[in-house]
Amino acid sequence: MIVSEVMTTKLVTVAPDDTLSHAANLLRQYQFHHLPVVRDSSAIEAFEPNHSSRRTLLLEGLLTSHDIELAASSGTLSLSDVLQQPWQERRVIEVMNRASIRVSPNTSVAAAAQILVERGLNCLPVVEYERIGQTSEEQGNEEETQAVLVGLLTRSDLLMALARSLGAFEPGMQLILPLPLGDLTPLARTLLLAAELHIHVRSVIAAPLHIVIPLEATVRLGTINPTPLLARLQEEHIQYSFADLQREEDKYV
Amino acid sequence: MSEGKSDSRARLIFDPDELDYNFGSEHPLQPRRIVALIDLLETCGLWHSTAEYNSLPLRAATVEELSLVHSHDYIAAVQTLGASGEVERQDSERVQLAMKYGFAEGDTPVLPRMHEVCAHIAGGSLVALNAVMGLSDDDTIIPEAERPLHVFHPAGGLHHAWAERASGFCIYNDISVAIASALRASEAKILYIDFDAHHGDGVQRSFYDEPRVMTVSLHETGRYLFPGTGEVLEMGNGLGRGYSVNVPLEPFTEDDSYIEVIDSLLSPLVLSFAPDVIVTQHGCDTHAWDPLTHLSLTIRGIQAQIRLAHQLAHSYCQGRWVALGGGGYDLYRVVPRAWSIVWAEMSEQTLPRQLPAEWVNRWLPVWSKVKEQEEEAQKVMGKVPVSTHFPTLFEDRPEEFPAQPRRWAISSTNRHTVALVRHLVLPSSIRHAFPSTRHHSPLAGLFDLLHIHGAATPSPSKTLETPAGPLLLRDFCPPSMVERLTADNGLHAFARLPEREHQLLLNIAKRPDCALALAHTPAGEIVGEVTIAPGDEWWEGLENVYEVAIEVSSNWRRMGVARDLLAFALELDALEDMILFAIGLSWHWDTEDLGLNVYRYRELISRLFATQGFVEYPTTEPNVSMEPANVLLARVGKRVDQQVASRFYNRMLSSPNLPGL
Repeated sequence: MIVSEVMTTKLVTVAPDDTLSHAANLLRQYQFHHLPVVRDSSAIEAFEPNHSSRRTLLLEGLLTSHDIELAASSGTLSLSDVLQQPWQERRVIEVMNRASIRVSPNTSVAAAAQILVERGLNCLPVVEYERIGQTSEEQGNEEETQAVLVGLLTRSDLLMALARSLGAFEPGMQLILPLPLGDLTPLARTLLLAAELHIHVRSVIAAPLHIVIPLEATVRLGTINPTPLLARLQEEHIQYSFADLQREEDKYV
Repeated sequence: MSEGKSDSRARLIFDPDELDYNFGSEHPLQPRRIVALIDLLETCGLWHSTAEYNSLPLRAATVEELSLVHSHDYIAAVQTLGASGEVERQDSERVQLAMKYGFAEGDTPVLPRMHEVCAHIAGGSLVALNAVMGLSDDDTIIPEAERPLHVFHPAGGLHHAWAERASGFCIYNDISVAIASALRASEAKILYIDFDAHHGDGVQRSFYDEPRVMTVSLHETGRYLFPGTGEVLEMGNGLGRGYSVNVPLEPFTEDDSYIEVIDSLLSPLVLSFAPDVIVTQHGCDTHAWDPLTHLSLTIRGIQAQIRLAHQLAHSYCQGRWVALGGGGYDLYRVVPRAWSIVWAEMSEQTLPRQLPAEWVNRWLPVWSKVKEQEEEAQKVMGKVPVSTHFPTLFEDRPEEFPAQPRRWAISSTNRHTVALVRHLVLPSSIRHAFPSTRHHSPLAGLFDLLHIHGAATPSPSKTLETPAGPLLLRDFCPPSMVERLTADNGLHAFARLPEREHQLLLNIAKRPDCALALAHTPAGEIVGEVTIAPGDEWWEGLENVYEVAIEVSSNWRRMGVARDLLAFALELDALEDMILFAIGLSWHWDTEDLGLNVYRYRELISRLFATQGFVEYPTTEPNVSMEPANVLLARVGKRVDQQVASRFYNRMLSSPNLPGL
């Protein structure tokens, strides 16, 4: 799974020169906590007919609700300031952060998730680096690589990705397969049998939780009628549990 | 014999064409179960296919009616895939189509003529609901006396079908189609109760944001079982929040626990929603013999469920009741008996004790052929096959159903689930009037508790002058007094109708552990109430925690009645030993009447309670935290022990699970 498959692409953005009051309104209206700050390069676009289908958004930074709160609270303190400008009238560019940690659409979701966890972030801009600028020969050196914003990866996106990976949005039942010593054969056999019986597999999770090998697989099957599959599993002596008494009892031990 | 029945207002819809809903001989869902049912009814003389007085002709639902629920693409795909002569063809285009719409997954294969067959079944449920609601095809309203009161459509109840997908043996969602069509044609509010062992996901999805339809599903938990949804916290969205109710039951739940669950939940739910009609789905795969689920009911539990549905329809909907079939995969031993009971209950006929011998002789051989398969299925599901007999009685023999080993743990988990549902979806005064079956500590009544230092004083009273005339305030109103009063017509915030609100107050007055303060006119009309009741299960384990609820009739607002009544009800010094709290949930607020938005209303409530020293607290309590407008207000009495108070503070911020769950 890569970032481009799970990121948010319908973006609500602000420009560096927008006022904080405008940004605050947007945050409130959409119930967001982050706004990417972009410069619209539509002027450049006009010369490149190939790109005209897409607005090119050049990432300047990220404005969070926290940034606005800080600006609002410091605004009331700095009355002695020469400017004495109310926070609502301040410009986005004055309070945003540069959002120097970014990912690309091809970053793996696992890596992006790790960055979010490690850095304690809630949101990562997803950018592609493109060469934009005067490409005339004399100014070749002036050519600049710019970060073009293509999406935003938030914790909510990851949560959605997790729910989808678990098959949560599809009707299905759960089967748990013990994998003694991490041996994946029972899982492989079960999947083959499911394919044979035309039972859709919504999700398979066999991830190590505490030690390095997975000891259990959870398979979500798109069927209301697991009987034929379960009968075949018994025939082949594959262990499984499906709301069975023993397992339920174990929970209470 | 037919003399007495001809004025019966119950009808059963059955059309032989519905038997074409047949996925083949290997499929768990067999239309022969309906044949066995009809045979049983006719053999017992309970129903006659040819008699007009007990049946209702069905018509197919139109594409236009189906499209109230299903997408046009889906309907077109169902038509294409099922077109005659095409079913066997396997070109890639067809395979694609089948995959896209859920027909490639084994459960719900493509049927010949499936559009026609399924439109027929959807039409049956639609006709049933329309008949009970008095809606006719030419848009005239049929007078109440000429309508059937109850209709049973055993072939209906296909609750898994989604808007654009076949799922779990269901193609068109006849229930949603019927309800959606009634919603369009009338102003009715419709209560749907799903008793099937599988979660009623399709119907819930159809009306997830619709406050005019309350869907209630009691099912085996989706932890393992299909379709995996139906958690308590799936409560609806937007305006429909609070109108989707889910009660996931533990695997191996038995009759007693089941009956306790339905008894403590359904009545208050129906009362709070005040529907015009009840639609029930009686999937009987909840039975212990069913090969596809793990619930362990017997006919006793299923019968209790059917009786309760009938009784609720009469108590709250003038009898308007549509019952549908649904799941049920022990085809010959369970389905015919369970659904005969639905019909007998509905038509108020008495069932014989014994199953007729000739019926048994006809169907026992049919069952014997699938018997081994059935036993095998039970085993692979993790159930212990308990009986290998064909029943001879309508009732089950208790000795054939040995107690489940974890009965105690299962019942107590179910009890917690019910407590959570009650906590989340029932307004507090309804909860106060329908105490759960939880055993209360043998404390003295609240009156004694509050009058420890001098019980001699009688219940206080006071006169309040208002611009609209004098009001009498009385504390600790005894039931006899409540009975002598009537409810003002603006008193409907919780039970929707003043008479029912009155009944509610009476129930509260009868509880020794509650205190009821009323404001009424000299003519005896109740215009406001304050109730003090022990905190519900969310607060379990905390001492002296009481919930305060207040209501003032919409005709008496803006006169300060609420403030004075609240002050009056909380006047007692003994309340300083207690922790009082009040919960304001925006979806119960009568913002329309007052012309306020929810945030202004919230302010109003906070200010009202602030006059009595209540303070707003942040909390993780799931209902309050669900919506920023909701609020929890509490007052910790001056003499409350510091430790007790800090346990209360901790509880407000505890994780959103019930203690012990």
